[in-house]
Amino acid sequence: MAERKKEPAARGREGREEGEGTDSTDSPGSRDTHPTHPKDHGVLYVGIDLGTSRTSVAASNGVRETVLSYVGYPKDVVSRKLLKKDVLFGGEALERRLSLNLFRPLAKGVIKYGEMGNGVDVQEVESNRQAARDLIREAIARARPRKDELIYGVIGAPAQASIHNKKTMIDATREVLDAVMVCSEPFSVAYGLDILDDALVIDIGAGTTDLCRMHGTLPDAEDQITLTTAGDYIDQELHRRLQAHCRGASFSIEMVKDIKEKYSHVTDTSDPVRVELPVDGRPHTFDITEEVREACRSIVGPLVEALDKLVASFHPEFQHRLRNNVLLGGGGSQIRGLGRAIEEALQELGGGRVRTVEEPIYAGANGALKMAHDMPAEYWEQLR
Amino acid sequence: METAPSVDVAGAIRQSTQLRRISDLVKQGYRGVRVLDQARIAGLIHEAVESSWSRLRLEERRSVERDAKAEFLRLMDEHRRVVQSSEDLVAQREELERTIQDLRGVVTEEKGRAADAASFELSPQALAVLERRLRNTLDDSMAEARRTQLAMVGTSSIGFMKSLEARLREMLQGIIEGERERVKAARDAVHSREIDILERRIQKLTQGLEQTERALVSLRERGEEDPGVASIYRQVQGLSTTASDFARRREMLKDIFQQNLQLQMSRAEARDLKTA
Repeated sequence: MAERKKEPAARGREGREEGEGTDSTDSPGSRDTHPTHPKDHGVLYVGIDLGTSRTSVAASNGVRETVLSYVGYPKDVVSRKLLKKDVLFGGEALERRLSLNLFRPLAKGVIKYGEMGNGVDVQEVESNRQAARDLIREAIARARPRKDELIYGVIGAPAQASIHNKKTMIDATREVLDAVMVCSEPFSVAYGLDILDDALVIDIGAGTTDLCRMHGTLPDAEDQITLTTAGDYIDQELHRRLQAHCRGASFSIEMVKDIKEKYSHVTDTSDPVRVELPVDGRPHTFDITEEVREACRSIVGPLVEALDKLVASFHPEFQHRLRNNVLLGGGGSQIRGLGRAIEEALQELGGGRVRTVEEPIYAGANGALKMAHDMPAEYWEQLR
Repeated sequence: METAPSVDVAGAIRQSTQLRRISDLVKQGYRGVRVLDQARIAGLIHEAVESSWSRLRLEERRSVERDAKAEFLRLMDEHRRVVQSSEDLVAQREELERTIQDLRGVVTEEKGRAADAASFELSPQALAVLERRLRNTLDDSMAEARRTQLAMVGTSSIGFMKSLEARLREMLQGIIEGERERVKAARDAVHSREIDILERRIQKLTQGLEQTERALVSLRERGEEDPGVASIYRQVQGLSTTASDFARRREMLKDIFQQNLQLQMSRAEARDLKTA
């Protein structure tokens, strides 16, 4: 078994022993200042990575769960009777999508139509928001909170999510969380890994790729870049390439996504990728190695460009430190050889070293959980 | 305490870890991995618990024990109540099922009786009425016959007698039919009322049974419902004063909080404006 980092909750527990029994201070940040909290219930902290593709949650009861960000409602009475559920989530919703009104309530890392006034049907906006609320409720339910516990959560949002989008996120969580905070997703990854200095975090999700420069303080707007060249972009790119390469084959974007998740790579040397796709109703084998590689590589260029921008605008004395401390997270970091490809691209800019986080799916949620835990009680009180 | 830990450490490890192929790790640039066997992990957990426990002061230990005991007793009490309530509902359901079964039997019996009503027999009173009417009719007819016989002598009297007999038969049939209809209608009305009452009682009992069954299912679900996993914290923690970079982290957390507070205040203001 590969050695793993300790759970954030476990780290918090360690610290607690040290703090116990010492004199209280009123300074925010000290944990010994909560005489008003009754002991008849517990506080469950949750860290949520509300992603376009999947939503992950890590909680202070040790539960970690992830669910594909799909929400489905039975189309009619017949399907409701058949499915025996009013709402389905994740893989199950995707599997039964023909009987459902299926929603993927997040796009580009935020709840769809967070920005109003773009001519979208009000019903469509409300349906997506309801789906987002249901998805969050499901994610929290999967964390298995006790009914008598207060739930305090931190949610990761794309680095450059707008104020309005953040408010929409908060609105969506209000029914299930007793207090909530939103923070930058790449920052929460860095916080969870205790990398707060001279590092560059790249979080590749489905909707966005977020880059964040860490330099010992809370990153501001200039320290962060959000790109839309991420997982979904690769899916579209691969779909387009497969349409050109696999003449006569029929396939959906979901099938393309599956292919990508199984075979994604950017390396020149890889096992051939052969898939069966239906042509006129009969399975036909196609070699799509090149198509997969090129589609995956399509995000490298914009990513390196953004990375270079963040490095170049950093203090010149510490630029080399940033370049040599690039941390790759998010589902996209699982693309084989991506770290090496970025390193190769960095060679032209003076070199650099890229590491991949150990748990791409949970890195954001773990960091958000750690932040929720570290947040002083006074702060939570004011946000209730 | 030297006893082996009773928690399923192996299961917990399986649940919270993922299997990675060595080849994948190599491709990601890992050259080696540190190996930690399950027994050692269990030992470390054990040691950590022991160490934490031994560091607690006597009153803190007592407090932990008190809390644990109180929680245990509360859960036991809750469990007992759920079990008792479930047993009551099962008994109630069985009783309702028995009553419904009995009532169904009665309804079937009554419906059978109603069906048999077509082949009824006349009551003695009805027969007495019938007899009286027949007698009157016959008296009238015979008087008529005597009068006619005086006026019409000879062969035509035979024809008259035949006609008389036919009239008598027809009259008799009419009287019997009328009586049969009347009695049947009266009996049907009584049966119909009884069946209606019984069916309404069955309907009500069936509703009661359904409610009981729903309550039972809900109780079972509640019993099976995941009570959740308690957080390891009973109160808000906050950043440890001994955390590395305490001051810097505190500032970061403060900034995050300020941003969120501002965000939520503006959200509340917007909502108030909307309401106004």
